[in-house]
Amino acid sequence: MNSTSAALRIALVGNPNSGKTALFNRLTGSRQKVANYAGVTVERKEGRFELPSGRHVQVIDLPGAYSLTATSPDEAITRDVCMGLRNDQDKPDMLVCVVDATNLRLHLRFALELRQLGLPMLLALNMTDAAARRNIRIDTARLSEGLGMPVVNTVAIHHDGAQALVASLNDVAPAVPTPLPEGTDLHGLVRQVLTDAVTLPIDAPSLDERIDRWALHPVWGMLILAVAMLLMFQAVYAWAAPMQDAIEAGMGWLGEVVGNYMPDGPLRGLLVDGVIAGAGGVLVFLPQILLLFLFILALEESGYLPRAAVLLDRFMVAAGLSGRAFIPMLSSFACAVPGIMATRSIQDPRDRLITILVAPLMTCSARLPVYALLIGAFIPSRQVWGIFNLQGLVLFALYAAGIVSALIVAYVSKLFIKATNESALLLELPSYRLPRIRNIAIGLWERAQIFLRRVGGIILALSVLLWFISTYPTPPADWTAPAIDYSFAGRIGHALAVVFEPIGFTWQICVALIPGLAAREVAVSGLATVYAVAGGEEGGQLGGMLASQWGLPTALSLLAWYVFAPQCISTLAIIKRETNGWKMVAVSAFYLTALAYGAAWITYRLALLLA
Amino acid sequence: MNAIIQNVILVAILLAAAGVTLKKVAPNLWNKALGRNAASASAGGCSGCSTCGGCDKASSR
Repeated sequence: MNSTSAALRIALVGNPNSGKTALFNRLTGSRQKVANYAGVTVERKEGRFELPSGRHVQVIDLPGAYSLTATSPDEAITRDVCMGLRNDQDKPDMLVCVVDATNLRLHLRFALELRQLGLPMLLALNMTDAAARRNIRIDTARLSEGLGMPVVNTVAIHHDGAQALVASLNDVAPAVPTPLPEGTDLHGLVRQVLTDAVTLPIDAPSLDERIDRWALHPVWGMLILAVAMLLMFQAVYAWAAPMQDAIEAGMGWLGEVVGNYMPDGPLRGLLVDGVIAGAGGVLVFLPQILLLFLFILALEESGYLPRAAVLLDRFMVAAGLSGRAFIPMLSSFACAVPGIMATRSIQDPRDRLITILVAPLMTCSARLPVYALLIGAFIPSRQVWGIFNLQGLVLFALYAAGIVSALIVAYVSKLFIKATNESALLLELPSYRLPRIRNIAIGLWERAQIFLRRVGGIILALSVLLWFISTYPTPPADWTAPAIDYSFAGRIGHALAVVFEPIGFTWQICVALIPGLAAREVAVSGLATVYAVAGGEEGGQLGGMLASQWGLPTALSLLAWYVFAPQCISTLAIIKRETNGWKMVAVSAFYLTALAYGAAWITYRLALLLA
Repeated sequence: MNAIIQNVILVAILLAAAGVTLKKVAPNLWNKALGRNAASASAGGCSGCSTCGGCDKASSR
């Protein structure tokens, strides 16, 4: 039998944050992003696994939906796949409806709605461990009887948590549940099923409610959020230093060894100035990136982030942003590309467009090396008010500047893009839970892999090319100026310097900005390469070199430029894809460049004045 | 090391770097050059950004 043609196609469907993607990862061995809040999956994902019987199963992980009456692009994907309305996807053979066992009152209604589709179906009762901890007792036999479909217990985050589901798929031929009579009151039926099959604990304020009294308090909640953020940025500087020093020393040693043992020539120049100084100069920032993501992953896992969304909602509403913009904007702290894709969960086209426009203002992780380099070189590491480190405070201020700018731009955009309707924030608050060390470790490992792939891929490639254009053509026989001035890079840099001189940028910065279009961190490796070729930087001491060559106004101006950092090809490409045209690409590129130039000019002039 | 060998290695590294850069900044052109179907390259929503690394991981399994 051909295993591919006989593969069973199952679709994982259910309300947001019911654990579909965690179950998908458990079944297929994938590592798709999961988090403790709704709306993480906005596209369908496919994977395969094999049943003990040898039969192959093709699994489709669908975005969470509350109903088949889609109100946003991601819910429409779920509806279309389940109903077989997509040309590029066959109707699934079977639906596995994933429900949160701690929140059945909400989740079962959608299961009953899916039952009406006439597809074989079973219910995966997920998070049964959390339900047991809360003394929620579920009689699965009665639940199955009430819902008219098989029910299996799953704990998607546990190693063997999908065994019952696999066994069920392996043993039982999927059955089509009997459709409910037309006009059945689904809410009423859910209440009836819950009465028959579920015993809830005596109503007392849960731990979640007690924590939320503080965490969602308009004053204390904001204070807790501010302290959490400040701590995060303090730690990024304080804890990363030893690891950074070690990597920096390693790069310095490597540069020396290669420099000493290789014969003089272009290949040595390439390895020492292009590869080790350039790409190695970016590698130094790995500890800071991992620390930042350690905090973000822990906050994601704990269930605190949606609370932060509730706290910030009034500011977002005042700025004209939909409450649903929170997750896209949060995702943009890693990278604007998944952030912009996440706007598919926003129903209103106007809200979606504005969120797409402001998402690049969130400080993506690619900007962190630039910030870390300049702050490390120019901002003294001294205590403020006895507890804060000035460098951490500046980093916090740069991230805050990105958020505030996004709110201001959204507010101004509201004046130009006509509103179609107002959409309030309806966000399901997940239960708090202790972050699982394994999940965080996997998340950090993946971030490290992503960063190292970038360093070993595009950053290394651009460093090599930048070394080439900084080295060739070689100077003429009667050369008097520095050799790099005769190179392509020198000429391009000096030409561009005319435009950027008013904001204090040197010609070396102008050169580094060009490869930064492909990946923002390349600005760091670009500076390292240009200064190394010019003979000023050896073995990873870029920060010290910059501090001796630039004034503080130039450094602050470059920091201000990077708050808006318009140069990212990937972001512009995804804007084009998501808006289906070039207009918004042009608008984004223009307004971000204008803001970056304006902010850098003001910063530079003010710094000159105050200096 | 012989100067000719050095230059050959240098050119090879430069060509590889140019290829990686082209793949990043113009993924469609890169796919076309390799005769790949652009649609399959973008399955799962990959925009070629290389940042998140996981868009089409599952579909490639």
